[in-house]
Amino acid sequence: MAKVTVDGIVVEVPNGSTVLQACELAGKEIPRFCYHERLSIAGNCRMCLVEIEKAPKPVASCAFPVADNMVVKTDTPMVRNGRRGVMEFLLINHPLDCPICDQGGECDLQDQALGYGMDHTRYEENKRAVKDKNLGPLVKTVMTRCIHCTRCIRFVTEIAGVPDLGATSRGESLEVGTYVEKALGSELSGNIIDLCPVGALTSKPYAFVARPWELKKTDSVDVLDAVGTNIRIDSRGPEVLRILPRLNEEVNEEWLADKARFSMDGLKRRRLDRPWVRRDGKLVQATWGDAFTVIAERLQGVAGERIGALAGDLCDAESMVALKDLLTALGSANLDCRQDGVLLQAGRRDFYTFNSTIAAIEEADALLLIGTNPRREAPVINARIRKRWLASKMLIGLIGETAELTYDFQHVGGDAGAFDGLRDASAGFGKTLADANKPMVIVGQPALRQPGVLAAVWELAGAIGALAGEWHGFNVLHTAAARVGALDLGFVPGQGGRDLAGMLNGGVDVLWLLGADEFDTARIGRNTFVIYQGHHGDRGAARADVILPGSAYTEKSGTYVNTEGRVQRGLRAVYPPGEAREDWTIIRALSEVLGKTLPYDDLPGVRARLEQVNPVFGRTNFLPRFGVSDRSGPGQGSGRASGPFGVAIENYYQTDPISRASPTMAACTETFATTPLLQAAE
Amino acid sequence: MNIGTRIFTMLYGRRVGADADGNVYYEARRLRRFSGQSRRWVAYRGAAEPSRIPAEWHAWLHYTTNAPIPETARQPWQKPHQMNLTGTPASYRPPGHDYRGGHRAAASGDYEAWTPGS
Repeated sequence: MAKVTVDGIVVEVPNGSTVLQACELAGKEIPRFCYHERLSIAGNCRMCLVEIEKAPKPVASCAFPVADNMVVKTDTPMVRNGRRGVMEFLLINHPLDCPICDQGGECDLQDQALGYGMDHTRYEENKRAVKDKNLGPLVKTVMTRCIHCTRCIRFVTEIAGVPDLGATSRGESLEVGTYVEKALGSELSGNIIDLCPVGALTSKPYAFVARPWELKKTDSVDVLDAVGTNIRIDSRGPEVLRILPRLNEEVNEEWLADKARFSMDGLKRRRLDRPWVRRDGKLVQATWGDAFTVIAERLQGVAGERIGALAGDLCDAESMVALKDLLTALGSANLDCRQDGVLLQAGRRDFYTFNSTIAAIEEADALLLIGTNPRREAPVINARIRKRWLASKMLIGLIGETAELTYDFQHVGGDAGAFDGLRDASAGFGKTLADANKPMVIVGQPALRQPGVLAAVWELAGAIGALAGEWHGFNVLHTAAARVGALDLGFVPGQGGRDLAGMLNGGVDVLWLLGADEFDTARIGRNTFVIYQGHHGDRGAARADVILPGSAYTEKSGTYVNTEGRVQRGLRAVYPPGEAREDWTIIRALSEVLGKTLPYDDLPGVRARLEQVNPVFGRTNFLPRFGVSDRSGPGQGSGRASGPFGVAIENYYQTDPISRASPTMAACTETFATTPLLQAAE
Repeated sequence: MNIGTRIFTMLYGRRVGADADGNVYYEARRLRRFSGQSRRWVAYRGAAEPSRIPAEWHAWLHYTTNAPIPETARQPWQKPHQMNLTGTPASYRPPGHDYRGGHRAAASGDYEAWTPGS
């Protein structure tokens, strides 16, 4: 530890820290452009100058290591003059287009120019002009505004792990670009918009849409993958204008995947905004009363076991518990949430969650990926794996389809047959796993579709020492945001109930789809009466006999459980369009018409019910770390695993009704469909 | 052209040419004492409306060129000259203007509803 005095405040910082970190610890804010906590230190903006006693010149604090008994001054005439000079240099070539710049109002340069800017310019020469680069459909560039902080280059190389961005030339003619014009091939590319301290990189779909001070900011949780990324929804009036990440060290750090960030324009298209009822084979508009009457009449005399319900991938826990309670009241145990046919059971929680927790990836020293491509299924988790791989050269093995994962891995095998080889602790990757202190196994959804794989992976995890009292190395990576919540609520076939396959092909007479679109609706029996409740007109709505318009994740206060089993709550940012309502209220209202009134009528009531069904819902945002208390594995089940696992996500940019309705995601699909990234994995 | 200008033109003017619109351009026969240039003016056909003067003659009238730019120098991409229509019935009115029916396009906050078959 080194003792540093900052403006008279004595702080103790670890050896090897920078002066800037010491100043932060002392509560002194140092202006900076290039320095960022999560990126390597570049030290090229020089804005963070401070005075250090016995140093002849001002020192760039972000790149200067502390020494014991150092005396730092952050607010002297020398420091202020130095920063003013740096700011003047930066503004020589920075255009004065703030009134038309999208960064206006949230621009670091603007803010810091307020403190350190000169009142007039001494520079009479022409400003430098740089040609704009085309970085694809997500990131808009105005390269003349660039101040060469290289944050974007460092992010793309270090965290996103694609060698796409770089700088050419030097000095005043330095240009940030992709060398040869190409779109940024990363699922995390949107983050460089947040990182850019000026308006050089801005959001293309959001260009010239709004100013930050016009927006209402609402904290929420992303549902387009199962990571449960914390987001901030910026809305104006009835419209969601943009989505930004929120800081959560345990889940997403400060990153957000592109699908979550840019697919919100899908929330304005193909919306279900009024009830529809099928009459004489054609869907006609109806009122809520009509729709409920039609459902009540159809349900008259239908036995409980002839009714079924399917929960989709984007559902909140509130609507699922209400639907489960309604179906139970109607006497049905036909419930399912596993649209992709994975063989996961409700019950013991560590059989279906990411037990190590995402943050613990940074402790693991060997990793085995089974039938998963984290880069597409959970880009933020992939960034965490890459972070660990960079920090410690963690050894990574992959069973399943090989893909470009932004880190080196050893391809161990293509199917479940490779498990046996890994038990051999004397050679190959089996030795790596056996030698590791904290080995980690991540199993993806495609692998879990094959019978017996869950049990085999659990057993393998036990054999390599991943199931210890202090360390739980067995992880299931989900792709659906609602899946863990549904399993927690037991939204799976009850006693004698039918599963998804059993409900299709006429297995039930009445089928309730709660936002379920990800299965082949043509397999629903011809005479099955389908009730679709959801927010987008997708596959499910096209087949439905009654459509009940629900709300998307931005339009309701919902509880979501991420792949770790972390319970998180999102708040409502905007109201649902037209006649649409919050989903659990629809089910509650219908239960009254059916004469099976559910015993809750406000949100706290439903949440109390959630907690009653499963106590984990009482503990939001916080997730304790735990080891393995019971090492007995899940049941083997019948059937044998055979053949390659396949892939969970064919096209990263279009996986759900929202992203399929989004023009931005359609543009991304068009742009990236031909890149080697997707070809490699197909 | 009012009567004073008409007499002035008759006494001192020399016709230089006319544009396609029918405006006639004159310059003084005698050079001005200090500037050494001759005075240039236009006799409008109809109401006096300076924005009706085409670019070729505008340049000459403002002493940018010594001689009017000939019609033959027009480029194929040049549009025919149009006067400033502000204040006339043909002036531009934005969509949603009262004179264009007063119906505004849907605001950006609107959404696109799903209908069966779409």
